[in-house]
Amino acid sequence: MASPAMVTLISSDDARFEVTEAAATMSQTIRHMIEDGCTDGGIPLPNVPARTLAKVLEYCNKHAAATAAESSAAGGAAAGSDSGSSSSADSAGKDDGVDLASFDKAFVEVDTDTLYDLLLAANYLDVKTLLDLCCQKVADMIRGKTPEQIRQTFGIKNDFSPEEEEKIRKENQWAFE
Amino acid sequence: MDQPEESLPSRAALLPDDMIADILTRLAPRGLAVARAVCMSWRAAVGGGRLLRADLLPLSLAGIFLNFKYHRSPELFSRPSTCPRVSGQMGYLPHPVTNFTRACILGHCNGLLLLDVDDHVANPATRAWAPEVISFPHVKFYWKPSLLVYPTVAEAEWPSPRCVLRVFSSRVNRWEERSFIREATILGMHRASVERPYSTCSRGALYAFCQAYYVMRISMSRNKYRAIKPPVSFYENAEVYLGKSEKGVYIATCDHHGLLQVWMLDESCGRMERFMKHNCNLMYVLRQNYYLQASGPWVLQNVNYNLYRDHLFPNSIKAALVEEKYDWDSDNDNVFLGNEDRAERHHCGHHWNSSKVQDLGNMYPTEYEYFADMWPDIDVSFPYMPSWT
Repeated sequence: MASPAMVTLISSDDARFEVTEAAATMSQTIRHMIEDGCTDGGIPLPNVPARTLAKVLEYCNKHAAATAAESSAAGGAAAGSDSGSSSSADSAGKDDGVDLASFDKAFVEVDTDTLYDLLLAANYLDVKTLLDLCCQKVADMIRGKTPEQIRQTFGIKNDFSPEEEEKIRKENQWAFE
Repeated sequence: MDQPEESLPSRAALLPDDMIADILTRLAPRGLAVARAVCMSWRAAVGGGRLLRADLLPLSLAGIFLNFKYHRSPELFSRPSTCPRVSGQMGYLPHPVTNFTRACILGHCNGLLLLDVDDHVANPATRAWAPEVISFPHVKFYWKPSLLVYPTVAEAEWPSPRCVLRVFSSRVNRWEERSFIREATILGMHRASVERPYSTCSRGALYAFCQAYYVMRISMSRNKYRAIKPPVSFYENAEVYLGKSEKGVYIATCDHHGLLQVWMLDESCGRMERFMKHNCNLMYVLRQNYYLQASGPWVLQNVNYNLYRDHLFPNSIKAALVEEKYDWDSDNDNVFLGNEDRAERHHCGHHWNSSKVQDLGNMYPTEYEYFADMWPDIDVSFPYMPSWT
């Protein structure tokens, strides 16, 4: 078998990214475009800027490689052995679970704007696991904070009137004690 | 990292609503409640996504629904509160209350009332109602909070090894019969036919009174039930109430001497225990003349009678709903039950922590004497905790 199939992705600001099809098709959106044969000259992703796309692809490469390594380790099938080679530094098959978890954890240690971009991109590209990861990260950031701390963290404007705010506070008195 | 990036206006504030809902779904009720207070769109996400599960909400007692003898519809004895006020007015029900119909309450669970008109279920907070098949908008997502059980066990053996209950399940949006297997054998069973229409949800299980004041702990997920023996054998004429406080599920009784007793169900260590929590005599607070709606801060909304009267005498002058403001401690207290004392027909609230009992005042609908001059009485009462979802 030859080197794995590659596809070209084009960000909103016209940067081109070469990735394996395995990584690209972690995005359901891209998978559908490939299935529809719209890959000639690269796949345009007008909603995703280069900076964010690079980050998303970092995630997809890592996970696709881990998946490939896992299937080759488990199945030992013919196709499995060479598909993992495209990605940079994945040799360890056994520790992938732990490895991936720590990768994921580190991956979302970003500022809120980046996290926001990732959320939107993961949503648009339909990368379910990445969307989950980012949503969970935001939820973790919310947890244990007061409303005011949450607003500060995410730069949210308090658009309640004082009366409304008081009303909500009373409704949910128990949560603030 | 978790560090707040203060001051710089983040675009994270601009997340689409469905994504906000996706994120907030991952929060526990407390987190959700806090998230509601962040901004309008978050509040909408929590409310619109029906994320805040009613069964996980702590208590917020809006009042006590009362069925009066000889009265065709219940009234809400409402608690002074700054929370959104719930109207006990039943005008939204499909059948107006007339001389020939009634809309009395058969049961209450998690903000839903079961009425005795064709098994309608009503949610006074959202003013929604459902007959047998039509759904409440909110019950599609979580069936537990809106699950309402009305035990129909009247078989010979009690507690029977298998028991069939009629369950209003929002999962299927209708009443259905489900059978539950008894979990543990119990001793000392005896037969009686007392049922009290109380039920409550706590930690995924539903508790309901059935015969002989046994408490059924019904696990919906496992289709099993357990019968918990009452702490003492109650007098037939004692008032017995089953409810949920912030501390857990409890049983409260008040006998005709005014003796109030409260028992908690202790579920720690995986088994049920009962212990007496309070034991006090109410007589001394119940000395007032019972026709006075005196100083109590609670207000009988007294609206359904007006509906009914309008129907009878279309030209009569409507008595306005009086909503007086009282400066009282009721909002911050731990009132956990309205237990009625038949002898004096007052409602009493009981403060959990301080073991304080308050007379909430008397409450009779307008012209109630006209209906019930012989034996004015409250038939049954339901402490009501609204479900806004």
